[in-house]
Amino acid sequence: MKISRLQIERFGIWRDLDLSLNTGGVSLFYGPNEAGKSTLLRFIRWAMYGQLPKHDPGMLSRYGNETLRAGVVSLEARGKMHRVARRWDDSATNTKTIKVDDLPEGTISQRSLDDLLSATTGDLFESIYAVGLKELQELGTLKNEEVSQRIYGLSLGPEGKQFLKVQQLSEQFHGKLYDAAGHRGRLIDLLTHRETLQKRIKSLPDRLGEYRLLADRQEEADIEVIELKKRQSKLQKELTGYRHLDRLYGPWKRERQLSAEMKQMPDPRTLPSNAIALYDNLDAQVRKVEHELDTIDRELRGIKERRGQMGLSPKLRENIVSIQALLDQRSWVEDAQRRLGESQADASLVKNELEQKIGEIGPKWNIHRLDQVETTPDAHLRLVNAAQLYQRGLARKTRHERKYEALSTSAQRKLNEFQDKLKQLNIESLPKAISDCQKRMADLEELGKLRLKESELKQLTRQLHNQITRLRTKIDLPWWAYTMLWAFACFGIFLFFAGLYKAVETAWIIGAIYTLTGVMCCGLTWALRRHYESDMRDQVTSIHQEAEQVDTQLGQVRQQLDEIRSRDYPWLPNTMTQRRVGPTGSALGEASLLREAAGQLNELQKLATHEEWLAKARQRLSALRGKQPAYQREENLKRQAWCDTLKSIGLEETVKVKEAFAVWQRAYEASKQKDIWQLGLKEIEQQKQSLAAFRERLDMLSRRVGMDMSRSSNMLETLSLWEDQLGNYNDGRRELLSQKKTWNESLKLRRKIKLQLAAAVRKRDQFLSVNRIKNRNQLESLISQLSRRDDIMHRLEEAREELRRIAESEPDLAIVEEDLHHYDAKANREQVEMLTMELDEIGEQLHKTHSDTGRVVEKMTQMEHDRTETDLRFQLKQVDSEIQEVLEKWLGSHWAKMAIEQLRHRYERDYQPGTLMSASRLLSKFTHERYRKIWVPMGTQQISVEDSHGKSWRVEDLSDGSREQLFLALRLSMIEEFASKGIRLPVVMDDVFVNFDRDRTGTAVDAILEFAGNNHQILLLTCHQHITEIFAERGVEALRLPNNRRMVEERLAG
Amino acid sequence: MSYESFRLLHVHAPRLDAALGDLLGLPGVHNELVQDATLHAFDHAIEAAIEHHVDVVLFTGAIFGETAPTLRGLARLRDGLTVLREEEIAVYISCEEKTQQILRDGPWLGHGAVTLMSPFQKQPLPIEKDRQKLASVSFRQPSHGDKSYRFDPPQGLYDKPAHLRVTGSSLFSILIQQGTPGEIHASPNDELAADLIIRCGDEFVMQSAGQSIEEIISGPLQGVSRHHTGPTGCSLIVVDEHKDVRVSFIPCHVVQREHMTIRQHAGMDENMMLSTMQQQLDGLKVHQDCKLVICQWDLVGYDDNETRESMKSRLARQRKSYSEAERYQPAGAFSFDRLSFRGPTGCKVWHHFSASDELRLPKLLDRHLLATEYLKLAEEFFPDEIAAFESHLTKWSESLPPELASRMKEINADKLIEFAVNYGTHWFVQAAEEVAA
Repeated sequence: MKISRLQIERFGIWRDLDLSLNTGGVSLFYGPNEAGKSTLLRFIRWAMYGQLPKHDPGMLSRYGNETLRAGVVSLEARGKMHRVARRWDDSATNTKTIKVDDLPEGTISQRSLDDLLSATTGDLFESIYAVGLKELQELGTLKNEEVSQRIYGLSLGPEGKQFLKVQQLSEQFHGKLYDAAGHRGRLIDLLTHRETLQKRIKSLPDRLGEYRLLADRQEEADIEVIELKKRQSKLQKELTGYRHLDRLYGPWKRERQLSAEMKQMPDPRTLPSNAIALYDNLDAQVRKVEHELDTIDRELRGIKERRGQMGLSPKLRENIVSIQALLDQRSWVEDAQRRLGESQADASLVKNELEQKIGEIGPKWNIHRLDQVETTPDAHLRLVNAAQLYQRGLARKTRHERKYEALSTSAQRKLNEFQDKLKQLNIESLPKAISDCQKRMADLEELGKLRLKESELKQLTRQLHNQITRLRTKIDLPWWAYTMLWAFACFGIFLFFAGLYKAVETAWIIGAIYTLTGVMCCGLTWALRRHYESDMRDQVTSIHQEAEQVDTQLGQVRQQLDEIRSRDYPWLPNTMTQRRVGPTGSALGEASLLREAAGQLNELQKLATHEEWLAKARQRLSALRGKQPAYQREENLKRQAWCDTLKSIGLEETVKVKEAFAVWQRAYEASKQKDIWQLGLKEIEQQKQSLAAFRERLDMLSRRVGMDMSRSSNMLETLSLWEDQLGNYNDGRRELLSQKKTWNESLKLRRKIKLQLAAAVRKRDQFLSVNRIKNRNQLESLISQLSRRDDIMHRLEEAREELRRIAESEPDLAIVEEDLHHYDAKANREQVEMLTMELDEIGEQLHKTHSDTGRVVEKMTQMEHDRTETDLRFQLKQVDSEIQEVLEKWLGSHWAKMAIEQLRHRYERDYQPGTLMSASRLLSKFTHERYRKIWVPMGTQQISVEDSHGKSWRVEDLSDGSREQLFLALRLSMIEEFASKGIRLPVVMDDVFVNFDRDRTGTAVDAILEFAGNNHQILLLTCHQHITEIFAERGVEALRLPNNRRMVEERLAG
Repeated sequence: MSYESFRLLHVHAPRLDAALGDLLGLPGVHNELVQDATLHAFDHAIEAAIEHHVDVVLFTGAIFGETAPTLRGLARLRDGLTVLREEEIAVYISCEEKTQQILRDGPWLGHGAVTLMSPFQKQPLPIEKDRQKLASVSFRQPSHGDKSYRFDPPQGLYDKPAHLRVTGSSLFSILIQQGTPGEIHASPNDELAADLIIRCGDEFVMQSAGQSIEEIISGPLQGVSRHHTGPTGCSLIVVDEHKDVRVSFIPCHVVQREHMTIRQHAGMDENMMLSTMQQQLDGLKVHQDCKLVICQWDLVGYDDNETRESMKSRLARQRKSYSEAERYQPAGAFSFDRLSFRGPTGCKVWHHFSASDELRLPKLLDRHLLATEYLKLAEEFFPDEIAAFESHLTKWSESLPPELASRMKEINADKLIEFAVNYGTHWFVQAAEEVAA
């Protein structure tokens, strides 16, 4: 948006002012002090935004009592002109009116005005676009929120926030570990804890000293125990001696007495202790055996009498074994006769079945024919294998035939379809049709390209003609130039002739000079005109040539287009649309043709695929036909093998596999039946032979025994008769044998009893002679003496055993017999009592010492296993470790902070916002590169400037001029940034170069002019003549404002 | 000349009952084990001496921690020495004056043949008044049952020039050579006895036998902190009848720390990360008596003692890794539950990240411009700043409490850089997220 005109009816000192402004570039207004320049600036702001500057109390004091303010600002925005008329009339009910364009008064929407002003606020305009010297000198004017966001740290984006956050985190972490200012943190806690642990360790008792004392006590106690044990041992030995003597004395004395008595007793003999009972027993045995001998003699006499009364037949006794053998076979004869009958009946049934099965096989079959058939498993296997091979060959042949038929049918059907399609499309040669279709597509594509090129060339031709037209208008020089050149030429001709005249009349040298000067003027005139016109003509000529070339190209393109359009495609199928491309055919039509052609090509390619498949099918059919004889041969061979197998087995030849198998199966079953029948016949024959042999043996034995067998022809009856006679004979024989056995046994028993009697008499006599006695009375007397001697002997042995035991209980003590002779029981007992008392005392002492030692050892063990000190030291060590680690972390974080600071500094320098970067460039230009970079530390609102040596300066440290240049650069860069976002407002500058030196002013003016060249409108107000001169040097003339001094004076006086 | 074989077990710096430090964050359930780690390691060394039928056990270095010995430590030493005495194994202890004083005054050495030697004195020290005879202790070599050797320094030997002074380790050289002591036990250079003792005698033994190995494995019996708890133990030196020396390392430590590195790359999800971690875990070598393995996981990995260039490349690597990484969550929230440890029976494992728990694991930093920029800056900034590190420390220490001044000497620039880089990146990522929110 730009201001094209200012019309002030009344505002401040201005009355009825009408100013037209240059909308492209700088408008410089010159006026002395109090001329109303600043008022003009304020008017613009008031007219556009409806408010007076906040920070201009002088203005309010000056004009605050005005009752009327009115004016119009004409604006140019988006190619349209707008008029913003504003009127403020305090006297007339304090109304504020604003009017934009032709809208009725009072109906203007603020929104329309905001649109014009790109929704900017008066404050923003005041901060950035309306710049006076005062604003330029004050940093505070750049603290508008939007402005701050662009200049200060808020502009570093998420990275800047991260840096601030990192700083916060690092500070927190650092302070948590150790805060030097507050003397707190983990490190301090650990140091305190460490101190506590050290105190606790120090406060532990002197354990080593105590342990050493305990060890000494233990050693002393050990020595005492050793001494006591020595004494105890000695006393125990003495006591044992006395007690031993006391124990020995009694048994020793008893043994001596019994030994003396024993010597007076008779010598012991071999008489047993039960001698009387032994003698009585021997005598009773002799009497018993004598009685048994009498009894057996009586029995022998009775048996002899009974044997004489018995008698048996001798022939029967000789053949008794053979008769018994035949009788034993009686049950077998009965069984054999029964089985013979059954076998004959079975054989008859089996034969009937066999004949029936043979009949089932076939009419020509009989038992003889059946024998020719092989019914073994091997034959069956061969038959099965042959059948499988034959059937497999047959199936393969059949399969092959079916496959051939299917493929043939399918190929024939597809061939018909393919030929129909070709006829339908009227295609004679498919490859040619495809090739033509592809060519058509290529032509269409080429056509599209040529059309594009044609339009480009047309455009170029138009441009070139326009250019020629423009240049032709410039070929002719303006009239005043021709006039000047003519004048110059006339002057040269005049000089030439004047020089000739002078040379002839007065002085040839002067004349020559005049002549040469005249020639030079004419030449120069001709050269200037020639140079200027020829240059333009050359340009026109070259453009002409170029236009001709373009025309030629255009002609060629059109020719190609015609050629393509004229192409005919007679080979294409009739059914496919053949449309010519018209001379004015549009790109859309060509695209449709191209799509159509693509569709055609696709269809033809499908047909080609179809044809390809048919060719392959034909090849496959041919291959299948070639294989057919081979399959037939194979099938013949297999069939021949099958028939051979049937013959070898004994069956008739047939190709019916199932039937052949059924015949073989029935023959197999009949053969089995035949085998059963033949087996039955064999069995019957054997049974008959066995019965005949038995009859022959029976007849022969009857003749030997002398019995008449004519009475019965039945073998079973004969056997029954023989069985009765044999029973009678056996009864008599058993009785005789029993009597004989009893006789023999009685004889044996008698011999044995006689021997027993002799032995019993001998034993009794021997017993009497050994004991040197003659009868039982003498035996009883001897036994009473020996009983007394045994009693003494027993007591003596007991006494000796006791002595031995006592002696063995104290092997270390040796008792002399003399001591026993002098033994005094009373004195010995007193000695024992005394020693016992002394030993008890030592025992108590030992017990006490052991208890003490145990307590000491327990205490020492407790101390050895006490972990308190170890625990504390372990804790101390861990605390030390943690202190070290926390310290390292603290130092590490310190170092990390340094690194972060460096990274941050780098970011601050290298990643400043675009505003500051463009401002830096402007500042560098303003200050002749003395200051190169403007930057703002992150998170602060402190602008710093870096000079060419890399040193940073704060704003306060800069000179007035440099500071104003800095802020001017900042404002201009912000205006540029706003402009890049579509916000373009007029810039009003009020004497901003006052404190610039001449060089910097020139540079600044250059920069401002360059800035204005970027489609910015700048209204520059100044009261300094030299400023206007500097601008004038650069082709910008100043507009002098009317002198209002008089009016001011009047106003001040008023 | 034939020579009797000789077996020496060298135990350096058992640090009995010394507190292991730098175990922040260790779960309380492991506290007791860690507190007893040095004692268990000492027990393993004693068991090793018995198992390998050594002739001599040599204790050197810090017998106890840097502070005064504790009663537990002394008692455990006494018990260990008692066991060795019962097994008829001679013991030599070389320790500083202060420790000697404590050992002599108490009932800690038992009544066995223990010789105290001082690395700063010429003669073995008497232990107690009534144990004077142990000063020149004789010990039998089991392989030579009918003969014993006595160590009697020859008259006037100590009056010789310094480079011929007898040292503690010379004792062993005498035993090896079986020659006249005066001829061979002098150290070749003008070294103090302390040097030889602290260098464990092992090397000296081998030098005397004309042998050398590329690497002497010596070190503390158990590390003193998380950063020192690698495989540690004692050395078994066997000199055979041909004077061939064989040195074997016997691990005794109970707590073992492993520094594991994961190189994250693009497309590495949690499962892949865990799989990589599991592979490394499966490849760990842990001896059967170890009770706790500390797995310290580093997502990038770097070398100690880096040059400026290598530090730059490491930081560049870290930036690349961070920019490619997929995961993004607080390190403390990472769950190690899905990792399984197949160590010896009863051996536990403690996983933790080298970064602090509050730090986040890296994410795709491409989305965080400033974090990436920070890492780029770090590649140049910190290596350049190393030169001024001392002055920085001086400046920073002025604002710290005075009791921390002494600790500033232990500050390592690499560690600080690691913290600075990690925390700085973390802050930038956090700030970016907060600003975005």
